[in-house]
Amino acid sequence: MNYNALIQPGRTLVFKLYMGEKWQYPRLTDLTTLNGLLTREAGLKPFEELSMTSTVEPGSAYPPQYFDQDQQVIDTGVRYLLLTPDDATDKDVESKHPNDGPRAKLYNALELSFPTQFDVFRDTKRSIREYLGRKPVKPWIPRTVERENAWSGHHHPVVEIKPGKAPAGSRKAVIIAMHWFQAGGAERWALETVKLVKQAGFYPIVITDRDGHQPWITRPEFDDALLLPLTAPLQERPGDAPLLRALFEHFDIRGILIHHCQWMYDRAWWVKKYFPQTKIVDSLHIVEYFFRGGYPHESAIRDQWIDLHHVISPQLRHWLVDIHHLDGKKVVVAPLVGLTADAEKATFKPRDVSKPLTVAFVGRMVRQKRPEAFILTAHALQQARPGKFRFIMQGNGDMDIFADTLIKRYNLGKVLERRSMATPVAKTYEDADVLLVSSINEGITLTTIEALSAGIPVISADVGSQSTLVPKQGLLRRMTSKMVHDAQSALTHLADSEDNRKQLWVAEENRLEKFSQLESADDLFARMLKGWNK
Amino acid sequence: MAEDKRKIAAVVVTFNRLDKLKTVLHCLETQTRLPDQLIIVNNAATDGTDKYLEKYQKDFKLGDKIQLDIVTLPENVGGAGGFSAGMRRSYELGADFAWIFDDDGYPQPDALEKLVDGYDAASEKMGTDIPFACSLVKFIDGTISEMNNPVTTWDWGRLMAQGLNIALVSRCSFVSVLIPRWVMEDYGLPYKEYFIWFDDAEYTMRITKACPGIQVMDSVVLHDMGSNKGVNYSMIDDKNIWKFEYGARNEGSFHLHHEGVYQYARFVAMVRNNMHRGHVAKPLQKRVYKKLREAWGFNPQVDYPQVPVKR
Repeated sequence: MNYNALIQPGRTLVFKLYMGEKWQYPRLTDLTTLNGLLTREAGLKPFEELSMTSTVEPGSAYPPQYFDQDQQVIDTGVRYLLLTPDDATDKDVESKHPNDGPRAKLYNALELSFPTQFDVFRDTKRSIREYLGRKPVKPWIPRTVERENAWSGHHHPVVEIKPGKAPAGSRKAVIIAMHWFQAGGAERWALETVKLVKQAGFYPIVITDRDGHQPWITRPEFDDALLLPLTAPLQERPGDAPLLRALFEHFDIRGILIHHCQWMYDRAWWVKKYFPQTKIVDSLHIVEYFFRGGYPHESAIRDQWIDLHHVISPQLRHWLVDIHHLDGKKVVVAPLVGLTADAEKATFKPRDVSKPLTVAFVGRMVRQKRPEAFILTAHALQQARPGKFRFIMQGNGDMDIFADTLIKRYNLGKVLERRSMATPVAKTYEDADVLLVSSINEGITLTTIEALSAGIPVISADVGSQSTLVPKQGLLRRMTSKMVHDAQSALTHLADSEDNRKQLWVAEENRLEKFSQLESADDLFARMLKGWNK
Repeated sequence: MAEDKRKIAAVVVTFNRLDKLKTVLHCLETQTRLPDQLIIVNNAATDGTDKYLEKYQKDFKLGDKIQLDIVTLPENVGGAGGFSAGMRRSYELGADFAWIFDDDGYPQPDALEKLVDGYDAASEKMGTDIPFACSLVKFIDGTISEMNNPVTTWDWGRLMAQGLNIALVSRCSFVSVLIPRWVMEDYGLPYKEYFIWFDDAEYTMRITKACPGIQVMDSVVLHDMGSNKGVNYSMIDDKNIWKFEYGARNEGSFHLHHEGVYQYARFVAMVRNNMHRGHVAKPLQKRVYKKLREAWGFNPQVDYPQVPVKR
């Protein structure tokens, strides 16, 4: 409703609210909200009808004619909003649209039957993608009016609508552009920045661009913030960004913080064209294997419109500065230390050596976290030294069934305990003696920082920037077969020698302290936001 | 009541019909709701229209109320070219609506007022901006004009059921049509290349793909044409063949390039049947068939008023 109020200043609109199925995602701002395709046309009955008048004062024209490509989408003054049940999850959506084509079936069968061997093929793919991610990138070219009109394939000329200026004394605001209102490392940091923005005296405007059930939308951190969860395609066309235009005409927007939000990356040029004084800062967490690096790649090719790249690990800085030649002054490493754990008061947690060594896995049960590598390690250790090790796997995700199948196959039920995220993660660290990070890709995991702060050492696949905190003796080669081999060897050492376990933790704790001496992300952003409020 | 700040440009296209043009201009000057702009497109007339317009401009008494603008084209570009030029000019002058008609259409005193009122009422009832509003076109004897009847939609009575004397239509001829600025910007201008015939039908069909237009029955225009007859391909003779040639090429091109080969074939069959029924002379039939073939290579591109004309 805020979205419509902003882009339809002065208009009275009727909002009809519909409750969809669990397997649908909410549709809030896209063109189906104008034509009712998924609501009225689908035979649904609204559970609520509201009539609202926008009190927004326009600073430029907001024509109510919308086009989806060259097809006009009629705006009858009604918005059909599709909501979904509170208990809906991504799993519900996936179950409706299962990825069960022949290729997916073959993939899943190979992964389940030959997890180690199959990973050889996957690791080859990862290596190729890593190589591609290191290749030089070309700057992104925005869809400016001039470019659109010069392109012969686009016959319809584009009309530029220039934004007005916010009246003097308008409320100072900062846009926080997020991926979605859902749990994730980048989202936890985004949430923290919402708090920092408020503390700095700004009005937080939070935009998300990713479909989801948005379970975090009710979190108290978002109280007193303007929330704009977008569903695409919006009522936009080349030459105009109506939502941003409305925001800039209504608020004194001092800066934009991007947290994995493609929509905002794509419009950074527009902001800089009309509001060059507005600062744009993005936070980057991880170099992906696919899409030539993922969000760091998106950021690198739009570098000319971004004032500062905040990265959470030295590996990311290396990727941006040394590989892709971004200006080193614009790339700042500021760790997320202190976001979930207090590293300063950490002490080593000794264990009762008469009991089995407890190895923990903490993370979502998804491909990126590679639960099968953890299970295969557990299987190898149980085979080699039955009863000498215990395992805890905490987390849920779309690979739950896969993980349970493997646990059953290797008969690990007695030594491997599965925990849901309902259990406080602190309890798992308390019960564990060592954390094993088996992911195929990471930045610097928050779980590593949490585990060290809880007094237990970490062994990790040598991925992302884990080597910043984990020394050589705690690093495991990436490919599954090698990782399992290395993990078995490392964990055997740790089980046999409490001294070794303590030395590893001390080495890691020292690295964490050194890493923490870098200005933390919190401090960096608090200082930066203070500067924006002058 | 708030003052209506919307600017309406009356666009008149004229070619060698000076006497009728004078009547049209008189009708415009005596409207109960005066247009804010008056754009007269002189389609390179050779009957002294240019001299008359020079004097008209000099003696224009409504200059404080109406912005007069005369567009003199270097050559006759037909009705299609004239409407395209006039609408473009209205856009350039910042008009919110172009109100277009020929030089033989006499709007009755309240024609524009009723048309605007009808447009607003229909937009409110439909909940969206209507792409065009046209008047009821009568012959000068008060009977319906046979050749200017709009094509209605399947639900043409929808607004009548809501108490408005307005029908929903999907196409009409350019005899008193109100076209909003956004339509010109988003859908472009009529094909000037059509020269004459089918430019109005194609344009109004183009702009009503998403939402129908309306015919406001209380807004009346008298069409002063020679005789009150409809037109079809059985009526071809030596005098009017040139018009039918344009019609065949233009409509053939539209069906072929916008609707596909099947619709083109249907149109060709209809033309053939009409000519056969009307015993049209063979040489004239040949000329029409030649134009139908020409349609294959004739596919003009839409002009947009926001893009300056290439000189």
